[in-house]
Amino acid sequence: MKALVTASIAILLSTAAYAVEPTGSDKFNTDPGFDLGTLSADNFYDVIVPLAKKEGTVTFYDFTDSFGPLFNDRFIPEFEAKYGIKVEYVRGEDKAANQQLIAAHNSGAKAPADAYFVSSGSLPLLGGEGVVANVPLHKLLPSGAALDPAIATVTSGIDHGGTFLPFHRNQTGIIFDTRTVPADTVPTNLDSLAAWAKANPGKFVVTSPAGGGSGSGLMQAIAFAKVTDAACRETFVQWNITKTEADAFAAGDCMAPVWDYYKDILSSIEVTNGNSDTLNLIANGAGAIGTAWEDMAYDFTGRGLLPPTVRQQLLEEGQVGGGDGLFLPVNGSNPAAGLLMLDFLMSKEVQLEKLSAVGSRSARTDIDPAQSFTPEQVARLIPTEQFKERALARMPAVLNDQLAAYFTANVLRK
Amino acid sequence: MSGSKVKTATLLLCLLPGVGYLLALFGLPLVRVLSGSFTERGSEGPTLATWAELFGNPVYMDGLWFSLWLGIAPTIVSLCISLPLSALMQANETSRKLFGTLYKIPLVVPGIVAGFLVLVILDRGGMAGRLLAPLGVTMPRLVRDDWGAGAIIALSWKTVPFMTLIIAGSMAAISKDVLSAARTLGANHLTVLRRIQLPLAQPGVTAAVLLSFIGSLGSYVIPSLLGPSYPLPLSVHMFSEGFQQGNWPMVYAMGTLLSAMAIAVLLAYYAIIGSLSRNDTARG
Repeated sequence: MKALVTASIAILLSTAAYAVEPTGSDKFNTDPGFDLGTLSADNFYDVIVPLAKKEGTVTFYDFTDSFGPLFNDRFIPEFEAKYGIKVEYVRGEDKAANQQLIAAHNSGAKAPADAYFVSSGSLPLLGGEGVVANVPLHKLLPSGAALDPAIATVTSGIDHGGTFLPFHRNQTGIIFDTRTVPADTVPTNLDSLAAWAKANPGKFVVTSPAGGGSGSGLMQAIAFAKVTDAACRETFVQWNITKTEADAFAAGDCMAPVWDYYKDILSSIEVTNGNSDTLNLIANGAGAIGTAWEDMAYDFTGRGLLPPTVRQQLLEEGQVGGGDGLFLPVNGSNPAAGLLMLDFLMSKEVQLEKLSAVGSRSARTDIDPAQSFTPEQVARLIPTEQFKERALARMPAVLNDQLAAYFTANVLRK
Repeated sequence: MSGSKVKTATLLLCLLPGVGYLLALFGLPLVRVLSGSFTERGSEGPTLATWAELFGNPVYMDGLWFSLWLGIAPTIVSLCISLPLSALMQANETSRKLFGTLYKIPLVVPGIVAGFLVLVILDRGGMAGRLLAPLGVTMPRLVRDDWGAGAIIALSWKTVPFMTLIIAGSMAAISKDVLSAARTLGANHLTVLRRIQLPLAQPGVTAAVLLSFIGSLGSYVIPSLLGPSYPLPLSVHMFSEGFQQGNWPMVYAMGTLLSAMAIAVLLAYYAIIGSLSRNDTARG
């Protein structure tokens, strides 16, 4: 029986039509125990499912707190029921998990998990340490075919060739309560927003850029809109920028229009310490317009923590978003089950369920909320047309951190 | 082995549980924190760079003063409530039972719950604001205000029971005969409190002030929830430097500085109390 299965797999591998090639190298940096060179999206299930079932278990690592219930209650039980493979689910702080993975790799030990979900900020470190398998997952996995190729191959300016799957996409935006700001009068660009804020003191609630991603998202959006000099704008995509360079940029002439924008409205706005804090003030009715993460506001509204009259939008100049991703580690204990889990998590069903449950966007091009969701759910999201036209990629994390520090020290510090 | 050596060894063995505990759980971490503050992220060897960055950054210095403010203000507010409350509890059995029950309620409520209670009640658009709005009364800004009023209220709310527990215990230990003698000699309640109860309860008051100040100085959750977006206390900076930036030398330096400032404030407190006591004694 064992010989028959082995022979069948060997035949399937030998007939692979469009086998994938390693990225950034002429050979794969991991040896899963089967020939990656003959594996393709066409023969993926025929080859991988029997191997994964034989492995019987998969360890999946998740760096978030927010996705825990979704994995625990839905995706993992669904995966186990579909394939009969037991999932060991591990959650924890990603800095520690990254170091553990790197230490295991450097000592020649097996990777602690078979599939990883980490922040996109971890990619430079993990890629640099050689712990990410150089397998173009967007080509290998059947679920990868529907992914936007640009999003599937480039993350935070790093061209990883598809080794880092965009599992979760998020977007910063502006939320407003239509009870106090009717949708047809809400400011739609930065200048009208500033004018509205000054006319309505305390009603525009802004998360501090150092306190939460929605605040730094607005800061980046202002920078993208107000910094027009081409040489200055090159810094926004300088992914290898150092802390010292970022400090100098924050204090230089390039960013002056951004700080001037904030100084102009600072006495009229409420600056909060976190994303939830901002949403709470909107929920209380104390604020009318605020900065927000789209998925967080979607979730809060769905759970009744924000009134159903709250709507989301992107400013005309565009607002930034990002996301977090999945990868196959080098030298995992159950590589076939790991690959199968990654494929499952990128499937249309899971991505749609994720968007519906927590407002987490997808890089799949075949998902349109208007086609699948109720009108009430669609109303809780940023309008799809705005998302397509106005979503911008985030700046390098180092630059963002130093801009936020400069804001605190020189704008917020009165 | 000679008799004196055996004696010394026995003595050391007897001291080991106490001294060893102090060395292992207090001395060693303190040495680690202090030595760690003289390192720099990403480089080996001793350096003053982290301290220079700490003292050279106005954001951190504002954070230090705000930490001290959040240590001192709730302690003073709590003392102003706890002292008369403790004295009232000594007056008779009824007041002891009544206040003795009431003040203990916040004792069992965790700090984060106290923070959320204040947030829900006193924030803009909160319960108090909504109740007062029909009366035309607008609540002053208490949450995220520049003085940290909301944080001070929550910290005081948590501190009063601890302080009262200690001070009331000290006052209860004062002999009733002494208080009766003072009353017999014509002293009123205020004089008894000022000239008899407070001086005799001084060790308890000092302990209560010390514990409250240290607790408030290092608080993290309540200032995070209720404090202004600027300045942030050093405790909040320590968290972000450690867990978001991975800058542990800065965490060590901030921790050392906070501890040093706490010691300085307490020494100043002892000096003031000592001076007041001497003046009181001199007046006879």
